[in-house]
Amino acid sequence: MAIRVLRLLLPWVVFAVVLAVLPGMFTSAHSRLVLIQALLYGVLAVSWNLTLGLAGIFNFAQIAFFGVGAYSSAILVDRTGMSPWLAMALAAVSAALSACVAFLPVLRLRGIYVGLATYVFSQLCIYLVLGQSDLTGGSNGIVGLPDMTLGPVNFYDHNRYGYYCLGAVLLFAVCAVFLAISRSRFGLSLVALRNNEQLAASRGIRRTRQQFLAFVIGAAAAGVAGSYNAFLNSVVSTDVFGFGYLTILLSMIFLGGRSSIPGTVVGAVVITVLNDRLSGTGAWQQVVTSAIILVVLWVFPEGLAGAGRLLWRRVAAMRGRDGTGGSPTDTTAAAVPLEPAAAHRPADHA
Amino acid sequence: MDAFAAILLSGLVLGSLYGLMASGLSLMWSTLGVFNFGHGVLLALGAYFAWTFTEQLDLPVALAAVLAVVVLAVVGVVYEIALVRPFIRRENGAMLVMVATLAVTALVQSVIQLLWGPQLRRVPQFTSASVSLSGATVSGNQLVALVAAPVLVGALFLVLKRSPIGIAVRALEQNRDHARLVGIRPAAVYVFVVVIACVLAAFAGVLLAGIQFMTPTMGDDPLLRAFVVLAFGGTASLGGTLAGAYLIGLLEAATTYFFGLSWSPVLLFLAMIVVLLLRPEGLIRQRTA
Repeated sequence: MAIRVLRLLLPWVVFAVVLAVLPGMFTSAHSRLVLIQALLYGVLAVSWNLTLGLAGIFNFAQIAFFGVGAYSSAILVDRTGMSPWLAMALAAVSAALSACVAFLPVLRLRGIYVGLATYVFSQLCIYLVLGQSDLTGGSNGIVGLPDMTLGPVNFYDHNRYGYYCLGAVLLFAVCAVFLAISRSRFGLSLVALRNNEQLAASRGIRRTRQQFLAFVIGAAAAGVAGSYNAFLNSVVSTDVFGFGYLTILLSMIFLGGRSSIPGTVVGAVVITVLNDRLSGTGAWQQVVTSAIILVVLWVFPEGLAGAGRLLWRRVAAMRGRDGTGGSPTDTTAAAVPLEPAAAHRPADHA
Repeated sequence: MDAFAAILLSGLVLGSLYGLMASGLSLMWSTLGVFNFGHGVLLALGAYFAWTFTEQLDLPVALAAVLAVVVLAVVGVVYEIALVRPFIRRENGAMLVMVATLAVTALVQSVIQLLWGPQLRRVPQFTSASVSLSGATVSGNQLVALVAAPVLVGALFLVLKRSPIGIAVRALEQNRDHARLVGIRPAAVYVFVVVIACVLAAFAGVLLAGIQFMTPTMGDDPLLRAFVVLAFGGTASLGGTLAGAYLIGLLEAATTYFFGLSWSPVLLFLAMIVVLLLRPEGLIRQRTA
């Protein structure tokens, strides 16, 4: 029992320690900013994975929820001067509400039509923001948002150390919530619906309610991320709804491997660093990011996590054969059953 | 009266453009079972090739349009082989294809930016003729669009109805396994479908590039409307798709006239939500083409 608890907790302790140590290793303003961006993308990618990966819903509106969160907290702070912390909480609420609107057309739709409706929704958010320019600043956006503070501490001080800590807490929390959900009955029902909807429904799982909940929870997390992004940059513009975020996040999720938390976080770090290296190259940045998605889809649809699992299985197979392994039939046999085992056991996702 | 004519004409022109986009999307959806998120950038690509042929090779517009359409047909073959074929038979293939087409959209938009640069450009109009109808004027490409959309979609309808490849497409739509039993090769049919979709998108792109300035993202708006068209018209028949396209065109023209440019997309989305809630299979119900 104690060993099981230890095995469960150990990765999280390591994760927390890494998060705590990193800012000490990267102290310059630039590297700290890259680190914070990786945290932000990580939060967003893991929250998206709840619908896209775990529940298998074709949700292309996650960026819209991120944008709604950013804009609603910016408008609240700009207009009423309320505390950024309160605005961040309200951003989660407004993103969740917008998820309810986006989910309306999904109520009677299946699979791929959901992708269509959510995509249309996310594009329309841009029109709405541009159209209501007296509230949102139109194409100029909203500038000069205040920095977040906690007591006497300004989060911008010491190369944004406060923002780093907040981002680390958010990432840790989102990952923990994801794990808790994926192990709960709720998460299992999502996976069941994803893998076999008819069978799941026949066992009494209500598709609409469960998927709606996943949608709203994911959206609330994205809203918080949007709010965090707004205060971090002290600016919001329609870029937050843009194609750039969409491709970056998809490349992170698919590079890391859908529905794998460590994979997604590693994907977020790799892509963020790569993007930073390419930041002076203009359009090449997007060329590289989108090419990565395509190459991963072609070569390794399960992403890094899938590659890791495959490697692990091969090593295990080798060890099981005690040196006799390595005949050609063995390696192909190890390579074939790649996807089903992972798809049906949510416990593997941790 | 003038307002009515203006709304009617601009609605029909919009509807024609959306119809060209949506019929390709609808065909891909009914045969391949995927939505092509890259349709907008294919439109832009057609427009940019047409610009190169008219401005750099000094060809007449009609010839440039034909060449651009041919180039896009070749692109269509590559598109199918690179983005559809590797994924379509996999588990969860539809999502993989959609993500791949999204990725290629970002990729091609950036490549257009790198190759052609960010300057504002236009392709000359097909004709300088114009027609006035109680105060509202339709000119050049709008006129061509009004005529070409029903003609092209009608021709596609006939091809699907009569020609061997069209019958193969419909057989595959209706029952994949049986179609294969009688010797139809899905791969060949898929290539045909994607090429047709690319050709229609390219033609819409050449038309649009004479009406407004070209940008790498010029296809995003028509694509969005074409998606709404699919929700309205359903994807079961080309007739339904075309009717949906005109309906959306008129609705957009009317809402833009009465509520302004910024509210019109929002109202369209609301209309889409209502339609999807009440009739998820589309307003116009019909069985295959």
